[in-house]
Amino acid sequence: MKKLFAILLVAIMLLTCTALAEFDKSIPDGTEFTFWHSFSGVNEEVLKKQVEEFEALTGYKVDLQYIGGYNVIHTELASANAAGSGVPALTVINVPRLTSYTTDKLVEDLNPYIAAWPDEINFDDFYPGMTDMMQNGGYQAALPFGQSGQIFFYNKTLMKEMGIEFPTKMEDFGDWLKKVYEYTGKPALDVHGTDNAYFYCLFTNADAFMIDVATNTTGLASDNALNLIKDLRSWVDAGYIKWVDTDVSNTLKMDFTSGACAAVLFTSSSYANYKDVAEKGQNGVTFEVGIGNQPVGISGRNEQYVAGATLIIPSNPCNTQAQKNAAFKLICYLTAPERQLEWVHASSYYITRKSASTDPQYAEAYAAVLADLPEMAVLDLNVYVAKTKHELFDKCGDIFEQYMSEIMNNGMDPEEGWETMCEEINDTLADK
Amino acid sequence: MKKTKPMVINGRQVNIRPEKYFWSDFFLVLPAVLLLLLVTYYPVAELIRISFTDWRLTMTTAPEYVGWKNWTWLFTAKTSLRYLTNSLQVTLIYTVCNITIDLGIGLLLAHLFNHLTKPFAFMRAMIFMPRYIAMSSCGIIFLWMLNTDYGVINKMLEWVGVTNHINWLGDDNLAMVSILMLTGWHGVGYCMMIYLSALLGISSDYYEASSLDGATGLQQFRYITLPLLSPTTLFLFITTFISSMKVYQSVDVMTSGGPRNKTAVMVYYIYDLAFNDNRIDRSAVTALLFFAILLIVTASTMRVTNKNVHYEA
Repeated sequence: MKKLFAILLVAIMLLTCTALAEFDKSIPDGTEFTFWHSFSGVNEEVLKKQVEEFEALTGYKVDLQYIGGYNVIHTELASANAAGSGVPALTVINVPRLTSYTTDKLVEDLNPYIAAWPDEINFDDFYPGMTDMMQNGGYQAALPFGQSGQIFFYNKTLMKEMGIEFPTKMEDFGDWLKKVYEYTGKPALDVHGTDNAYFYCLFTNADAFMIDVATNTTGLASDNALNLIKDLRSWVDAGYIKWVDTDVSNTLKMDFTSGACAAVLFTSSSYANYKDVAEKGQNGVTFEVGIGNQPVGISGRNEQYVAGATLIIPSNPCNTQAQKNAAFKLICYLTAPERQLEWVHASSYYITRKSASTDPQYAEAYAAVLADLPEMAVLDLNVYVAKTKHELFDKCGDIFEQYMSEIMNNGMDPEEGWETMCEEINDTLADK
Repeated sequence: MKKTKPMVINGRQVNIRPEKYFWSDFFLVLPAVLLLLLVTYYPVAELIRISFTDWRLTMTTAPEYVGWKNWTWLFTAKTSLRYLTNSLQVTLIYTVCNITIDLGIGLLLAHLFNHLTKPFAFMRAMIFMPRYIAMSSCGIIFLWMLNTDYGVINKMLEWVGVTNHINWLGDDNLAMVSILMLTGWHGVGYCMMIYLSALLGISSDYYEASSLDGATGLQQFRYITLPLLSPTTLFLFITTFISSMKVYQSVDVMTSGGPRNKTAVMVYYIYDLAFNDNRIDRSAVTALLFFAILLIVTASTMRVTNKNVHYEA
């Protein structure tokens, strides 16, 4: 029995060694690699500082390059990949790109890296909704970094003055919009109308999904979706909602911080900026900024989808395994709870680590974040789930947002628009 | 000194250099020809090759040959036909309007400045100035100016009583107008300058003689100025036509093809296929079709309009 146990033990050890041997963990001293990012201003300063700290700690050399927005990075990355040279070992990319990157294996599967450095990455400490969104069929394409979500900013001072709360259920939403509109004589809410990501949650929480993978047709072809579209249109017609579809970012900021609307549905990463402008009264009105999560829809859920900047390691062989390993080490460093808290504090992106808000060793840093950004505590990061992973999701999303704009702002009949939209999405899905 | 060889071409006697010089001439132009082949014709050949493959921009494996699949998609798929027809229609509308604005206003301004005294030259420079600014920067400036709630255009309209803010970039009918405002502002100065230099080249004898014959200003413009400007008009027409058909930057910055593809011009559609859908293969067939359309239309235009061009006064 002892012999058998010893043989088994040796066999297990050999198998483990063989498995580990398949992944070359080595990183020679002084390894150099390139890291592309999309951050500017304060965010870039913090990133630079953290990268410099990493270089001092490890002796690796990071060529940190600002490339531009996510679309520019995508174009540059895809072009460099096609050319087979100039591909960075590490880059930031936004969540929606990950599905096609995974399908085409443009990025490394991070699972072997996670297995090779389990303690350094502490994978289970990430919010699962965030990491789920970044994997496809078990292929971990990215890890969370500068994540954001689709949330409501509202004028907390006004709500206190009116003696009402921001609604937490969709069924109360209409009443809230009406009350605010009647009180202020201005739209209660500005909605970001050119990116479906912002209003899509309202639909999924009503059980209407963009793509029904089983039938390869759109799930928006449902009564729930139509009813919601009709509700939104009636609120737009009544002046309760302003559907903003041009120069959106500037308009939302100006409308909200100047008191031209009481709330906006936009990206959570604008929190620090909105708060700063509103509290200083830079646009003529001084008020406290509140944050509201997505309201619970008729499905009984208030799910959201994580967006923003993820970290990926491109698979292109123009970078050596050692460079890729060093890049993963930087991921480990940047996503560690202490760095994440520093990052969150500066950028108002989401906290991606569970321990950052629960572990006593980070209590002081977390308290400092909440002291400056108190509404961060309102965010429910457990409601984040993975969105449908489909290569044509974005293409369908474009059609969705275009029709929504037509219905909300250009007088298109809701039912007619909805029907044509579903037909066009279905044609797109059939054209894979 | 080598003797030249006389030869008659198109009824004219011309002197041809001896054959001996043929190879030296050939080698002198060879670098330029090679460069042209490399940067112009090779990409076209490559585009044709890509159109027969399944190349997605993000793929890491080598693209495979798929025969006529992409071409079949271009002419039969519902989505392709929908977007292709729309893009061609939008591009054509834009081109016709832009040519009319650039050439029409350019000619009027040139005519005006031709009669104005020197101190007004700074105005000429002011009108030409936008040409120096990058289109993307102009696009951002116009984006702010045309903002529905905070744009200076709507504020100015408010002063004259239009209190209902116009959604310039979000309205189905006005989005294209907004883009034409930008590209017109950007391009009209160039046409004005070219026309102006052509106007200065017309001898005043014609106008003096016609005045003596009792011709009015309008008649002089119709029967002297316009015919003598026809080579310039043809040049501007062809160049503006090609640049209008290839419009992209202004659309990308201001509307991103919206609202609901109402400003999705051909080049924007081609770009969208390549870099948003990652379908380089489909983008290649669409680009080739567009290239063929441009070639045919330009050649036909030159053939038709050449008959009405007066090169000699």
